[in-house]
Amino acid sequence: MDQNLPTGAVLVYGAGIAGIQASLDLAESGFKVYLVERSAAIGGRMSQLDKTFPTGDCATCILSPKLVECGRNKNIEIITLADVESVTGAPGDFEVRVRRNPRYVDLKKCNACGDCAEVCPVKLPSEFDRGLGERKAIFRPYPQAIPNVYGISKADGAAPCRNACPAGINAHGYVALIGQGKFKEAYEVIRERCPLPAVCGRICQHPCEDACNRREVDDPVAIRDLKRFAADWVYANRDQLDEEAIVRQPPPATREERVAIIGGGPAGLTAASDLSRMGYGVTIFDAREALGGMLRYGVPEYRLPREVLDYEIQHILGACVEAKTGVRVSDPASLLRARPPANDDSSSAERAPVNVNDKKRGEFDAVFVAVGAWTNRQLDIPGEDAPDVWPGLKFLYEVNSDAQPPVGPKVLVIGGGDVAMDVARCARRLPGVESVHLACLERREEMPAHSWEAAEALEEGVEFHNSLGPTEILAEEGKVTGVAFHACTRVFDEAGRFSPQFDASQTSSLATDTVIVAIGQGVDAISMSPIVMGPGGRVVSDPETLATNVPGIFAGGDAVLGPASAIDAIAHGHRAAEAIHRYLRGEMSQSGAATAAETKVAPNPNPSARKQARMPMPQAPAEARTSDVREIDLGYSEEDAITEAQRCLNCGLCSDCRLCETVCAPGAILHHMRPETEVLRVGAVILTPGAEEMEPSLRGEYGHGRYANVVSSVQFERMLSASGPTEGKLQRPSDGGPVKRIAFIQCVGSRDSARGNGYCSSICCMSATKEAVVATEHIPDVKIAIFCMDVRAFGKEFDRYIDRARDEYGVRYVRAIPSRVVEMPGTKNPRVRYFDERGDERQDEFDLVVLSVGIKPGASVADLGERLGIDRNQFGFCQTDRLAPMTSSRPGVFVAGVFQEPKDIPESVAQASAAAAGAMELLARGRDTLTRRHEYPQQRDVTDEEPRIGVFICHCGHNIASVVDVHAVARQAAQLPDVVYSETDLFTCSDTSQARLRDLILQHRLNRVVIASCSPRTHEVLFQETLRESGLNPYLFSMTNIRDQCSWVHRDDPARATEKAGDLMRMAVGRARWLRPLETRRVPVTRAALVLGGGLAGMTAALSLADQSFEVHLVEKQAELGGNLRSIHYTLERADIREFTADLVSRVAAHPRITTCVNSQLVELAGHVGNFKSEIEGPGGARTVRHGVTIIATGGVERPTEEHLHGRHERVLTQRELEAQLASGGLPADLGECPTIVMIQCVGSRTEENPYCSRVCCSEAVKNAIALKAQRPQARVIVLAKDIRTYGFRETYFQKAREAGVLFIRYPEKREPETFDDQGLAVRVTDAGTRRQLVLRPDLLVLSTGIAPAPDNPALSATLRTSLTADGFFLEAHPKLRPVDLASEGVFVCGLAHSPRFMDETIAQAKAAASRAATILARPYLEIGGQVAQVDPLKCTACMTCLKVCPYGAPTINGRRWVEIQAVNCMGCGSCAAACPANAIQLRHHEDQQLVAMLDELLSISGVPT
Amino acid sequence: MSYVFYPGCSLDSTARDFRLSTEAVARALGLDLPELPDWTCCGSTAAHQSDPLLALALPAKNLLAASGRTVAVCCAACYSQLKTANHRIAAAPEARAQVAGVLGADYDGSTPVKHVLEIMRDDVGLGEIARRVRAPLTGLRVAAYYGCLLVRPPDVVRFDDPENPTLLDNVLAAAGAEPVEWSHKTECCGASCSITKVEIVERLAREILTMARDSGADCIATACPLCQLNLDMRQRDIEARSGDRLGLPVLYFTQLLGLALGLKPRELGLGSLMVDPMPVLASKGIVAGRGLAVAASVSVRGQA
Repeated sequence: MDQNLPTGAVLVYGAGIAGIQASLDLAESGFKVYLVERSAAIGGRMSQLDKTFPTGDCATCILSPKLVECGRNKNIEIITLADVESVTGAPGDFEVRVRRNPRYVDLKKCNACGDCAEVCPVKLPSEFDRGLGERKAIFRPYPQAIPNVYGISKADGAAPCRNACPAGINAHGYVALIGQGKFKEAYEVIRERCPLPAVCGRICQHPCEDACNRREVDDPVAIRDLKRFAADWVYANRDQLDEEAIVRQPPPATREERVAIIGGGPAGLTAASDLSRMGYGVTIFDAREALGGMLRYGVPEYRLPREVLDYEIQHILGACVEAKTGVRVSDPASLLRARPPANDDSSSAERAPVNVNDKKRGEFDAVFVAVGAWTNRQLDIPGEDAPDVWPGLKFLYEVNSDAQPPVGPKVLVIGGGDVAMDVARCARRLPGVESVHLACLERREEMPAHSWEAAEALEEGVEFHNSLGPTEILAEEGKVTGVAFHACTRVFDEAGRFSPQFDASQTSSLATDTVIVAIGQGVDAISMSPIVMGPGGRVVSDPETLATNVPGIFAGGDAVLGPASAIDAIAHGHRAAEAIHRYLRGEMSQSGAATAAETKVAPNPNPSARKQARMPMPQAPAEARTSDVREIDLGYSEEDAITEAQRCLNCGLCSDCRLCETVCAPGAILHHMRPETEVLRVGAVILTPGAEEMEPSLRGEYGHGRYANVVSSVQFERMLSASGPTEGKLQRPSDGGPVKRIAFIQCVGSRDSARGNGYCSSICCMSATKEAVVATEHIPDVKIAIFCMDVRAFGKEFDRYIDRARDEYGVRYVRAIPSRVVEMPGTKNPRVRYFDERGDERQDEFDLVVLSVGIKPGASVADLGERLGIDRNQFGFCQTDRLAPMTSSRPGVFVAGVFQEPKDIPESVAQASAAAAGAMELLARGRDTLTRRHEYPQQRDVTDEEPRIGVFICHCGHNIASVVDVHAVARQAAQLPDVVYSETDLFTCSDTSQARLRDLILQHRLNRVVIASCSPRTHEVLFQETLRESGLNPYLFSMTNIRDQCSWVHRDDPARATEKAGDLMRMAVGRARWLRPLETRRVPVTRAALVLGGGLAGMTAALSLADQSFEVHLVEKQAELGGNLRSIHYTLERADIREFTADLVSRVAAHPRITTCVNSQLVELAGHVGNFKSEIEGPGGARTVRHGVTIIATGGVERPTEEHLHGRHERVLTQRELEAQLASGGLPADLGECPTIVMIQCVGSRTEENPYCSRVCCSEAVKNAIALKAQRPQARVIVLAKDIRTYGFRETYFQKAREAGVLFIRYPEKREPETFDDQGLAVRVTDAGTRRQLVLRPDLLVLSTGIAPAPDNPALSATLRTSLTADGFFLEAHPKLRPVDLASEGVFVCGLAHSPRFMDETIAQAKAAASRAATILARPYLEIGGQVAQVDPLKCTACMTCLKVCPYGAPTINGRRWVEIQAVNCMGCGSCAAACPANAIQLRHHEDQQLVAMLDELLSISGVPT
Repeated sequence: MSYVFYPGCSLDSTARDFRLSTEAVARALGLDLPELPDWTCCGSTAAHQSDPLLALALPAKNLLAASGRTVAVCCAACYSQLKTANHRIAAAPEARAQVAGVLGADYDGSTPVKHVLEIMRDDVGLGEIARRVRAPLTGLRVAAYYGCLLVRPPDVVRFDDPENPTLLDNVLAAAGAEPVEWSHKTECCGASCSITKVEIVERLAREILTMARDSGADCIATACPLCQLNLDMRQRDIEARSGDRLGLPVLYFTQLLGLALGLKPRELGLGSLMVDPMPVLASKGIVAGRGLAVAASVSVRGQA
């Protein structure tokens, strides 16, 4: 390959309509495209719109085909959920680093059946509907999304509850599932990481709740209580449930190794459970008579009923877990079996391993020591050895062993922690106990017990005595009589360490007959030599692996931690099991890798969530509960649990419950995806990242977010949309009530340098009008007011639209910006305060207020300047020049769409094509180097074969198969004549099914294929491709949709749905018998362009094409190039146009590929796209030019006028005349230093005869007014206008003009100023603000007369067989999405021939026309589809009906006076075939015979003879 | 944090109950609020409408006297005036020089100024307030009314969201009350026309009172003596002229907070309110019948 060739690939950043258009143009003209999009789907903002202005098209309907086209194009690689990190290199050869974020769904496998979203328990506010609706955590942004697959939203970090759980229980997961009533599934999520759900659900100290983000709103979600609920529910309903799901008895041991666990508490039980599920045999040794450890003997029964504990322990024991209770193991090493030393080199490096081989005589391969902490701490004061002094744990043990501890009627508990509370409350429940007192060192608020424990103890009548340090237990004759105390003045030092201080002078005593000491625990000081022991008798083990210094012996739980919580013990149980597993597999040395990286915690996704109190846990009444040991917490009802669970804020977004995995038939869910970065090599970059709406809260006085019935314009758009949250039903968000009055408030964030931005967002006036019109179509009697400063309807046909909205739909435009919106109590009606046109304050109530929010660069592109090395303007948009609007500050990086400046869809689309043209010019020599064109095998000739039909019925997962009996349909197919093969497939469209289809075609020599599945619109081309790859003509294919119009709509009636599917299948088979192979033709392309008009548009288009090495014939009517450019001197931004023009003209003249014909014009055009033939008449006579495309760039003219004494008074000028004066030496000197200069706008524009706006005049007036003030600062400059339409960044010049002292006076509609000569010029005008009449006496009167279409447009239009608008400009193929294409293929329009516009907009359109032209010229040949209309000359009467109905100009009358259809232009829509009165036209592939065969099949079975 | 308390003239006269209740609440919360010695007028209204320099120099004098301690303020007008002076002096060197010329000492605009509500939020903490509540204002629906000066101009005072402030609501919620959602939190009560154009004040005050009532409020809580005065004192006239029964007690937030902290109505100056709050408070069980009798007698005296 030539080293100097540029890379023939382009990266397009942002897949809104602009990005899509640029990609399509590039791909179709021979470049590889990487279309990088941050969100999950392409389509951008346009996909959110309901309708478009001024055409009223459904936005989705016109966008969707573009999306599909983009998705199917082999040379466009769509990279969603991705972002550009950096761009390095030079133009022609860039390296772009792209980060792909995980979708968590396999793009290739997902078939968008939606089963996952169905089961997903997490509902999140829908971003697409701007929070008005909800979506699931696994979702598709909208039904037409491309790529049409689901994706999962995961937060940046773990849900705080899950993160806080030491045992790693997925709290978010089970809470979300409970919220959806999926209790069994919730239980299963808990069981994943907790073998004791009901126990844990009762006694866990719930660090999850301490971390819960809901705390910021009100109270944490009752996570623990929900866990208990799920477990209790499953156990209560076990009869109805699958026993397996509940018990999950571990399978018999599958591994040889055996593990001993010493201690049957929560740590030991968890390790046993985990190890048994890994396949190890486990034996639990426990010194006490029953398993459960502290859960059984330390926790009072009123908190944890025995039967709950017993039931869950039963689940852990089983075939491979045995329990040996009442067995005390004092030498763990003795349990180990001797192992080869090779496996023993693995424990921590810090402690030398001890050789204990001599002790090894047991039968176990590993031991887990989890003996707990059972020793009581002592007070160490006189009298402690009296018999009536009980250690707390001993007391609890007795109580829990159902022994009646012999305590007296007056009990005093010493200690302030949870155990002390348990002890005191147990004592309260003992028969014979009359009073329970509790004394502790701490103040009430310092007590270490959980506050609710203390509160419940108080409720039950325990009396607290705080800040007391015991000094002696008083006894008389061996019987305790009381305890003496001195005052505790401080418990903790400044650093918070336990360091009590006492005041010995303050003494007191409490009388009692029993003392229970509950001030802390320690570990049993049993000898475990040679295991290293630490302080307090704790066993020392590695914090990560729990390995002790003795290989094979692990230790955890309270024995290591000291007295800790049950959940910490469970966590140790898991850790031990994992470590033992690794140890036994000889993988211990890899333990380091298992160390958890710093986990990120997800932020609160909704800090301003609505407050909703935590569901209280129902409790037995305090007076009833001290009489026995029954459980005091009664548990939630199903309704309570669901309500409480739905308080969850879903911090993790996806709750990781994995339910989607279980239902996804194609197995597309990939929860473990990670971000990836790749480097792409491209020659150019096009930036089309779009924009986002401004925050409605910029204008806080309107109460968005605070008042339910105040919405943003984007939200309103979603409300109108049939796919929106209310399915297009317009209703008040507050109560769903009817909407009768709507107010739109314009300029929220726009034209507001104080709070928002100083520019105009350009689109809002029109989009508000469109929304008003659509709303009126929804609700005919709705009253709508649009509050605005100006009505900026500057686009093509826009003013007509405004007029219709006002006159036909009754939309009221109020020239006022309201000062405030308040919400009326009760009705919640927003009330708008404003000053009406008479200057009176008014307050009107509405049902709905819509805030027209402006647009600004998105937050996600805030650092795009740094990432890409491009300059941004003061507002954060891409910095460009008016004379090079698609060029960023970095060569090779182009820009288009709203990221360049706010603009509407057609301008964005034109700019996108223009940016593509920029890339094409740069990379012209790299064209066709990286694209691929598919080559197919030779087509089999089937003409002499009998039909051999293969029928394929798709299940579409459960979409079809759950309703339609697909096997029955396939069996029915097999019975039909000519059908030689039939089968069903889970997904016919999957890669594997398509490969199978190829094989079956060969194997069975199929020559017709019928597929009954989903929509041909999305899948027909895919299947036809497969046919071509198998050597079959793609037209030997018939597809029928048994999903959208069958299984989906007849869900309730499977039998008849099956019958209908059978009918549809038979009809398709009937048609298939008559299918014929159709030939596709290739027509070579003349690689030259004809450009009509040598002004800015024509020269720009010509240069762009010539730079791409296409031949260009440039035809100019006048003697020299330049057109209107010659009368423009400078732009609003003060760029020198003279210089620019001279440069352009000389570049055109010098270009070797441009042939310029001046003083010439087109007289005849023949041929069609790809091969036109034109007659050009010039000075040297007529000549013929052959070309593949035609570009109309014939311009417009300044409208001549005789109004306002123009031409009759020397001091009345047009703006253009004024500009010439200003540029050539300035104002006449005799005007003096302070002349009065009046400008009148809309002279001859926006009138009855010329209802359109000329777009440029307001900015021209502002430009010249500023220039006037610069030349004569004392001059009084007054501009009279109906509106000032300085859109986009031009608004800043409007502001500059006002700052310079230019006065703008608004006059009302239809009250044009009058000019008369009254001893000098006089202008009479009505001021719209005050309704007063003013008479101005200007020294100079300047008229803005606007732009008129070129006078010879009608003649040219006739020659080209194109259409003009009512205003006389060329009519484009589609005003939104094909702004520079004409309806006739291969003809394009740009510049003033299209509509009035500025130079930058003309440049964009001209380059766009070049880009569109290049998509034709770059092809070696045009391919003509087989599905085209054909005329039978014997039947044709040349009635011309087809010429009228054809939208593409394909039929023409030939020399023999019958119609011929130009296959090149035919799109196969069939309109002509349907309309032809002589039935002379057949649409191939849909011929009469084929349709009749379908009807025969349908009707014959119904019993009706055909 | 150490404070000096700047009462301002209102708290010394028409709003003595605001001062009384503020000091009582401060004591109950363990907050030390020593009075700024030798304080003068804050420069509001009379000064700022007649002499811009005086309107800067007066607050500057007081702020300088605080010697760097945080100035705690109750009156919204004083708060605005002190904050504005700091903002102007810190931002404009020429203003600073002029003020120095008048005061004879340089002041750099750095003395911190805090409204008592801000102190509640930042230094005491709403959680701590909730913990100290002895008699929660359960069931009392309160319209938190901030008025115009507390939140504006937003760039100068940086008090809270200027359109939908929630600080006062949160303090009331911490005291157990139920703040109502309503839209007139920051509407003007017309205070600057209080003497010259009473009809404007009455129109604005009526709108605020009606909105509060219709939003379901049992009473209004204010943090500004001028607002309190206009809504409370004029209520009877408004009722008489419009024929519309309002009957909305208008209390200082410190009075409500004081009740929640267990202070007696008498300690909080409840008796000097024009619209008697006792029936509402008693109906919610916030004050006992005994308190009602005492307060009723005081209230008669107050109105005499």
